Parts: sequence; C-alpha cells; structure tokens
Amino acid sequence: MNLPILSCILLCPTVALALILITPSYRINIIRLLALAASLASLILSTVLMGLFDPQDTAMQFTERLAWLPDMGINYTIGVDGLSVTFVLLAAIVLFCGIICSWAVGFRVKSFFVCLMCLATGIFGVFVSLDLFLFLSFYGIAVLPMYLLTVLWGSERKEYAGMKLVLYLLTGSALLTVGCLILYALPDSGTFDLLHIKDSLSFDRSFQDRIYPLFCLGFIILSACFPFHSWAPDGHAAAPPAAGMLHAGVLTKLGAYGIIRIGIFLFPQGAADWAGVTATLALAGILYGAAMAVRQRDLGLMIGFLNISAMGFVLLGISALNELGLNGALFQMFSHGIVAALLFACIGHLYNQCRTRNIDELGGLSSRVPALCVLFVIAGLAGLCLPGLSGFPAMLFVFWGAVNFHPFIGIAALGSLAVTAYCLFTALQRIFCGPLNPRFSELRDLPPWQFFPRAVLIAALLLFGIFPGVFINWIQPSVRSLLSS
Amino acid sequence: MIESFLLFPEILISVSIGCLLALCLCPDHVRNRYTVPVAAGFSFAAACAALATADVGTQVLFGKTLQVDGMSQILKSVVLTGLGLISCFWKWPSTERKAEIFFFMNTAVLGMALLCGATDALLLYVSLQLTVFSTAILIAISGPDRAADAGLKLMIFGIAAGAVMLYGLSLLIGLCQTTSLSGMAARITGFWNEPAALLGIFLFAAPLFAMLSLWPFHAWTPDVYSGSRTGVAAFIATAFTASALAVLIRFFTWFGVPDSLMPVLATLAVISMTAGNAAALHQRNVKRLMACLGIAQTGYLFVAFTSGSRDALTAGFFFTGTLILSTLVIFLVFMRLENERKNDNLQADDLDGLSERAPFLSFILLLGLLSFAGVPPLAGFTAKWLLFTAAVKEQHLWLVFYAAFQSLVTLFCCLRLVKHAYLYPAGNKNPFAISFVCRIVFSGLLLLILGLGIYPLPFFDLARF
Repeated sequence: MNLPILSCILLCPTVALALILITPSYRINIIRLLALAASLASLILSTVLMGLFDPQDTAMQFTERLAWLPDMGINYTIGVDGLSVTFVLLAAIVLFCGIICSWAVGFRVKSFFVCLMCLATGIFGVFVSLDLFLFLSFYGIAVLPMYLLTVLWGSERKEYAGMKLVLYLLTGSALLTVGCLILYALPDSGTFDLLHIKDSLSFDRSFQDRIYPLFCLGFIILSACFPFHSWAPDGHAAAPPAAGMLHAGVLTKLGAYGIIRIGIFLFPQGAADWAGVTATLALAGILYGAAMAVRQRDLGLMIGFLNISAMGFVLLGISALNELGLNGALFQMFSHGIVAALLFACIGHLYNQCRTRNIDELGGLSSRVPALCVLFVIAGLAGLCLPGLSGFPAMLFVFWGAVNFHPFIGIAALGSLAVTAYCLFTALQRIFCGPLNPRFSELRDLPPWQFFPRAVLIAALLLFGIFPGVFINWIQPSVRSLLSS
Repeated sequence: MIESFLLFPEILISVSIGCLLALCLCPDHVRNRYTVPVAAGFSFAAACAALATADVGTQVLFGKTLQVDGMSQILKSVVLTGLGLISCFWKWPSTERKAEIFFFMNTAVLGMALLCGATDALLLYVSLQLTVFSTAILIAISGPDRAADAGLKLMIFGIAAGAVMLYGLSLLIGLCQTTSLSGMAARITGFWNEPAALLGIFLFAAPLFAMLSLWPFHAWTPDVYSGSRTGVAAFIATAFTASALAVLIRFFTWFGVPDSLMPVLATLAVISMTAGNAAALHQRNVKRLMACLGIAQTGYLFVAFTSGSRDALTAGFFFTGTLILSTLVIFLVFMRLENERKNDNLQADDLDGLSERAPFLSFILLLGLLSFAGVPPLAGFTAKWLLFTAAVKEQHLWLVFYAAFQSLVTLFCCLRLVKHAYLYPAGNKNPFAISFVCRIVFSGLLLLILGLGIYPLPFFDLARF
C-alpha cells in the first residue's frame, strides 16, 4: 500500500485549517463540520495505521522522506514505531472527542477551530517526526495556538496562565533547540535526521553525560514534571474544554515521549547515568503534585496538580530504564491522556453551567446532573487506577519497574495514590453529594450527543483496561529494541 | 549599453525623482492626484528591474566603484518594493506635502541603492550622506511637531556618522594607498597588528552599525521612530537595515573578521539583544516598541557577523530578508490603523479590539509579529534556525544559547501586542473596511511569510552570494 498515511494524517487538520480560513465567519456550522470531518478522518486513518502497523518490526514503519533543505541537513522525514504509533491514535481520539465537546463554543468560532486545527497539526507532527528540525517546528506550531486558545476562550486568570504556559514551553523548546544544534555541529554529523545521527555517530560516555541533561531538562519542562511544572495547573485550569483535553491529555505527553524518542534513543548511557536524578525528581513530583492537589479549592487546579503527580509516574517509569518501567510509562502516558481528556471534558461542561470551579461553592449536583456525575466518578476511578480500567495495568507496570530499579522510590511513589484517592473522593463528595446549592437548581445535564465523545473515551479506558495485552503487544518489541541498544 | 541595463533601477529612481520634483511645482490638485501613482509606479518598476538583473553574476562598473551582483540587486528590490507599498498605503494626512515627502524618500532610496553596490570608499561615503540627510529632511517635513526634533536628531547623527566614517576611511586609505574596498582588503592583511588598521576598520563600520541600530549606536532609533510618521518609520526600519547590511556583508566577506574583533562583535551582539529587549518591555508606543525590538534583532543578526563564515553571512542575509518582510507587514498594518484613527502616535491600547473590528488585519498583524519573533512555521523561525546553525558550526555555542533565550523575551513583547489586538475590547466597535487591493497585498505578503518559512530553499539559494 503506497498511501503516505502519516502525511495524510498530518494533512487532515492542515487542509481543514486552510478551508476554515477561507470560509466566511458567519458560516458557523460549516466551520464546525469541517473541523469534525478532519478529526474524524484523522481518527479513521489512525485506526487504519494501527491495523497496518506490524508490532514485531522494530524498525521505523511508514517512513516518508523528502529533501527540504539538504545543504543544512534538514529533511522532511517522518515515520512511526511502537513508541510513537499509539500516541498518534491517542491524539486522534482526543481531538475527535474535543471537537464534539467544543460544539457549543459560540464566540469567535472560526478563530477557535483554526487554532484547534493548528494545535492538532503540531501534535500529530511531533509524534511522527524523525527529523529534529521538524520535531521542534511542529512543537512550536502546537504551542502558540495553545496560548491563543487559553487567553481568548479560557476562564479564570487566563491571561496570566496563557503567558506563563507559552514562556515555560518555549523555554523548554529553546533548550532543545540548542541541544539539536550541538548535535548538528558535531564532526561527521551535519544533519538533523534522528536515525542518521543514531546510526552514524557514536557518543562517548562523557559527552552523553553532558548532553543528556540538556535534552532531559527541556523535555521535563514540556512534560510539566517537578520542579518545572508551575505552568501546567494554571494552564490546564484556564484552558477551554477542547484545549484542556488536548493540553492535559496529549501536549504534556510530548515531553515524556521526547525523553524516550530522543534522550534515551540517542544517549542511553547518559540516561542510565542520570537515572537516579530523574527518578528522584519523579518521586518529588508524584508526592508534591498529590500534596498540592489536597490544598486546592479550584477543581481545575486540583486536577492539574494530580496531572503533575501522574506525569511523575511516567517519568519514574522512564527513569527505571527496564522493560517493565518503560512499558508502564508508555501505557500510563496513553491511559492518563484519556483520563485527563475525560476529566477536562467534564470540568468544561461543569464550568460552562456553573461559571465556577470552586469546590466549596458546588454541592449536591448529582440530583441535577446525574450523567455528568457518573462520568466524573468513572474518570476519578480511572485516575485512581481501578482494576478493569487502563490505568491499573499501566500503574502496575510502572510500580513494578520502579521497584526493580529502586525499591524505596517505587514504594514511596505508590503511597501517593492514597492521597490522590482522598483528594478525588473528597472533591466528588463535595461536588455531587449533600444539599444542592440553590444557585444551581437550573443546571442542565449533558445532552445525549455530548455523552458520545465521553463514552468513546470511557470505551478506550475499558478496552485497554480489560485487554492490556493489546497495547503491550504494540509497544513491547520497540521498547525491547530501545533497551537492547 | 550593458551598464545602462544593469543600472536600470537607479535610472528609474532618478527619473522618479525628476518627476516628483516637477510635481512639487504643480498645483495642489495635480500633486494630490499624481504623486502616489508616480512614486509607487516607479518604485515597483525599479524593483522589477533590480530583480530581473539579479542573476547577472558579479559586474563591476565605473572603474570598480560600483558592483552589481545578486545580493545588491535583491536588496535593492526589497527596498524598492517596500517603498512602493509604503507609497500606496500612505493615505493620511492627504493634503500634506506628499510630493516633497516622496521626493526625499526617493533621494534616500537612490543613496541606499548606491550604498548596496558601492565598492569604493568615496562613493560609499557620499551615498551614506545622501541617505541619512534625505531621511532626516523627510522626517522633519512629513511629520507632526515632534518630527522636527526627530529629524534634527537624525541629522546630527548623520553628521557625526559621516565624520567618524571619514576618519576611519582616511586611516584605511592612508595605510592601503587605495580608495577601493577590495584593494584595501587585499592590502590590509599586512597591517592587522597595527592599531591604526583596527581603529580604521572599527570607525568605518561604526556608522553602519548605527544604521542597523546596534548597541551602543542605537540611541537615535526609538526617538526617530516615534517622532516620524508611521510610513517614514517603516521606511527607515526596512531600507536602512537592507542597505547597511549590503555594505557590511561585502565588508566582512572581503576583509574577514579579525580574531581580535570577534569578542567585540559578540559582546555588542549580546548587549544589543539584552538592551533592546529590556527597553521593549516597558514600551507602550508601538513605534518605539518596534524600534527597541529592532535593536534586539540586530543583536541576533550580529551572531552571523561574529561567526564570519560564508554560510553564516548567507544565513544573516536571509535572516535580514525575513526580518524586513515581517517588519514591513507589521508597519503596513500600523499605517492602515493610523489612516483609520487619524492618529500618528499609535499606542498599544489603540490596537484594542482590532480582531473584532478588522479580523483580517489582526490576523496579518498576528502572523507578522509571530514571524518577527521567530515562531514556526513562519519565515522568522526558519531564518533564525539557519542563522543559529551556521553560528554553532563556528563553535559560538554560548552566543546561540543566549540568543535563543533572548528570543523568548522578543516573543513576550510581541505577544503583548497580540493580547491588545485579540483580548481587550475595543472602545470603538465600528468595523473598518479593508479594500480589496489591500487584502490582495496583505495576502501576498502573508504567503511570502509562510513560503519563506515552509519552503525556504529557493529563497535561500537566492541569498547565496
């Protein structure tokens, strides 16, 4: 099959973006339908991609190469392996659900969907890029729309949150830019092609020990890990539903993906030498995120801090540098991406109805919005890694891998789940149980068609929770190949 | 015959100057009717002529005093296109001395065109003086009351710059016994240890650094920008940069960068980035803001000069091209706003609600600012990437590291304007119409910004000299 499927996935939101741009702004329904069609096409193509993907082949698949600026070592090189293919699917699922959840956006609809399509292009691009220039370009393409989405369609403290988000993310990007330029300037390099760098250059241990922290730091900032996390809770809380879903669900995963795709892939020895430091940071992030979440009265901020804790688990799995840990980290990234998207989809609806996210002001909502209550409970349980949902096997692998790496860190990290459980159950109890605040007596529950995208997310959680082997089969050969190198 | 063909842009500018001079003597209704078509028509024609002769290779004319090559012709076409667009967008105030304004703008452009190709010290000096003095008079006669101060400031700067350059040239001519720049470059290698040679080179280059607003020669820039009409500020921001760059690239290609000057250039680049960005953080006046950011951009450009390699200079040339494009787009939007508001002293607050009143214009401004700040996939990003790549190859890692972080401050300042245009509500809710021609022009510029960012190869090849 000669269809350049990855380019087609990339082109779906790009073409939709161009079409939306030339559509008159008063044609709101056409704009929405164009965005939905693009996201549906991306989802279908991503599903086809998963079907065609051969997990046993650890080399890059569906590669496409086009000379771009050959003299400067820049080429349009894209491809996927087991490490990246699942995230293309994740991004497509979250984008599709996010667009349906944003159907009610009525303010500057055209600009909103232009930004969303641009964000989607950037996200897909990062996951399929095999050229460092391309990787960073797509990352930049994803970050700026996120800023506009936050400041224009966001909620409380959106201006502050948007600027903080963009400055943090681009600081990480600047570090990565410098790292990529260093690789380019090495003798015998002269290219930004990731596979070419891996195959043709051998880095000695001292070089790896110096360059790995630069990349790792850049990616840690992007993935909102402690101590460079402070942009994330504000950004997540302020963003509109679809942007929050893509942001918390996918954008933060780009950083963790980068550590694996570039950091460990190119500098395995550096990663091993710095594993103790990154695992300690991961543990600090897990505990700090959970502890800070307890103190929050704003539901968005609380989920934002729990995300930091979850990203800590991802970093812990990566730091373990063993098969279980990396499998767990990749599984947790996917699973948490779905959970975060579901939580922010629910928070978005709640905020649109109540115009507040303050837990103390809410109460007794289960009588008015029972469907939303059920969705919140399922998302909360998935966040707590309940067996039967995808978070459980993911966390089990991470924990197992972390204990193999360092028993104390693994066990200490697991303790944070108790705090997370307290946090989530307290919040759910206050929001949905007890007497109803009279202010919210006119609340409307989710319409049935708005239930659909959330149901898709829940289906994904259940599917990979009940059949974790499906996911593990996709990623395991590539993980083994990565570790054997 | 060949010389006339190669000099067609300069000849067309001279004819335009003659026509505009004649228009100055005509009654008001004739001046008002014909000034813009004459100025814009000749500018675009000269730009096309310059572009058509861009691939003639290197031709030396008039006893090695003037060189016509790809670089000089491209920069001339950029300056002339900018002049043509500025002429077309100059709508307000309509009754002022338009013919005189465009007359001096054209004389300044003639000076710049000669500056782009000058290979003789004396022609270079005369061209610089023609450029600076014409621009100073242009500022003074075109603007409001405060423009006289700005014009005087530029005039004083021009006199000082001329004196400094003349002193530097006298040292170099004395050492090398020639007024030809290429001849100087060939003979100066034996004098690199002489303080007179280093001083001569520094004094020769200092006025050109000042034209590019490099710290510490930048002091004129914010005052002159804010004191001028927006159209004139746009002209200075684009044309000064292009012509000074042409001379400096020629200079660095022929002379090379002595090792002893590299730390000096690197330090000036770092301070320029820092000072420009730091000053921009506090600006409310959009022209002052652009002036300060221009100082920072010169700092990024000097990363290329510090590296000194041919690749770095090519990247610097490409970077300047994209910078001029982004700056032109931003200033054309400001001019359109100025026409609408009848206010030539635009503040950031004047952009409030632009996205509601003129969504197309605000989108153009957004992309112009993002390209200016170096955000992918726009022209500014690719240019900056190529610039940094060339510098890293020359082992200037720390400089690139610093420039990458300063780029964030530039972006922060640009996003402040974006916030005003997109986030804050407008005081005046009336939409203002944008003509079809204006849309076409802006769409063309937008495609160019995207094209240079996404597929820069043909343009980058054009930038090789």
